[in-house]
Amino acid sequence: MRTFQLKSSDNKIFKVSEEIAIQSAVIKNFLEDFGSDSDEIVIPLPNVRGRILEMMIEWMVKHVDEELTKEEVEDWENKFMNDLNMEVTTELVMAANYLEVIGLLHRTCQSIADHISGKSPEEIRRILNITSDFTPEEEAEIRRQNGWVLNPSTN
Amino acid sequence: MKKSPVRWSDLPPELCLLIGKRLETYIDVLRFRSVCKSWRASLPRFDGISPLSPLQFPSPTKARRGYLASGHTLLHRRIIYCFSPLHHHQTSNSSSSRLFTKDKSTKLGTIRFVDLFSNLLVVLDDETFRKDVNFLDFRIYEVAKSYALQYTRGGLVSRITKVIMYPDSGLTDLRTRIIVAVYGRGKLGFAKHGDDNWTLIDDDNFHYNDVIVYKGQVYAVDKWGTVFWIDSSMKSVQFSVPSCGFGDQKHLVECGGELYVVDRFLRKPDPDDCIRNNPRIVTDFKVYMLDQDWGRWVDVKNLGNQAIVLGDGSCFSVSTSEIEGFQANCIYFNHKQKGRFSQDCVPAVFDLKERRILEASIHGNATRCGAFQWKL
Repeated sequence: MRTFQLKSSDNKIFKVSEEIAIQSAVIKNFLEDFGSDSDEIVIPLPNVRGRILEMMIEWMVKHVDEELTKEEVEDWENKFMNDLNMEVTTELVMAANYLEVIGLLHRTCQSIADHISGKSPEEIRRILNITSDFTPEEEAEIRRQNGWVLNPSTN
Repeated sequence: MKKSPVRWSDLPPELCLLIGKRLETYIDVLRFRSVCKSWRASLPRFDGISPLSPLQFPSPTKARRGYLASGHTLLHRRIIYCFSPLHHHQTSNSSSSRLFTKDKSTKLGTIRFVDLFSNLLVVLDDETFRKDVNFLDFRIYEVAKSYALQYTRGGLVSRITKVIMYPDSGLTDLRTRIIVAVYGRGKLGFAKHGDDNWTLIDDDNFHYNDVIVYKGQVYAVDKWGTVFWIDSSMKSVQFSVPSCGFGDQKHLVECGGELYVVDRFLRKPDPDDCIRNNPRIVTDFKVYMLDQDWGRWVDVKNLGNQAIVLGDGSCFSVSTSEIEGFQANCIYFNHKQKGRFSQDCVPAVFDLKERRILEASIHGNATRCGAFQWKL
């Protein structure tokens, strides 16, 4: 089994086996294009910081573990996601999107969708650190679309 | 702590779409599109995918008579929302959540508060809702949906116990969905938009009591408490053994993520009454949870902090710690009154612990049992 190294934006090095890393479509393509038999190969990932990369590797390791049942992996996934705050989840979404780790991408998107469901736009902005960039005219239009006329007297 | 370098407004639009597509309700999509420009651009309008124009279906039951009761029927949707005001300076706001029913058949932009049981319009005696409301000022989530079929000339189609829509969420065109109903004293059938007739799902069993969408799948229950799963080819597959409840009417409810059957016990108001066709009155309820791992029924004596609402057109559970006005471990239902017209209904509460019915009159001193909801 080939192993090689992944280098994060903050220059942390992680040794991984091919079997684990090819869950990322981007790394898989990279290895196909530039593959050599050398273990010395280092893949730089300038968009992912060490802590996030470490979590992604943890995710990928769990998803190749053949000793775990489907239920055990699901339980692990739930616990993994519950322990994350929104900032880290957001970074993971970005990293999973960048490296094309599809399972992780879907799971993190679901987690964010669950989190914003029921919240007002203002709360969503606060949770995800987004600034509204609507013009006053657009803002007025949105307020109009979200407005409901209370109409108890007609039937 | 180092500030996260992530900026959501710089996100690639396909990521916004991936998240937005997972939102299941109209209101969540509306709000998602109100966050910022790139989010607004990434997700189409809900009604752009599913036009809110009325959906036509055939009537499953034959109209008995009358000018109103003829022609095609339109699907009529009601959504029950929980509103809780945003308190920017307070941490706790859960205690002021309230349940409201929004009537979707009215034109978009009009909200009407209707009674959960009688379909009657209600005037709210609440300062917050005296003026027009803006959804941006509330935390809102969808509690339940209900459907009804109405003739194009007005008037509800009679002898329909329950109508559901499948799939019941997500960004798919409403016109591709299927409606399933229990009608005509226990038949289970379905129809698609544009169909001329209803199709029976089960032509052996005419004793269905209820149908529900649970975890994205359709389930039905018959009068013996046997649950059936309706597969994607609209065939009915037995899913459980009978619950062996000896009550008279079974309701399916999702409660705390599990599937429950609530068994309603009825009796004639007067045992000697065999001439007058008085509605039977409720005497008791039993609650069963389906243990899906072992395929057996568990007798539920305590709902914890949940309350079950057997409403007009939809049965659902609410968490009493999140929504004001409901009493924990109770079943809210429609109590038909002795010797009155059938639509003359009184909402009532069944206390599962005490095993007795508490009356909750709309006009009476209902506030004692937190009956604000009855006035909606």
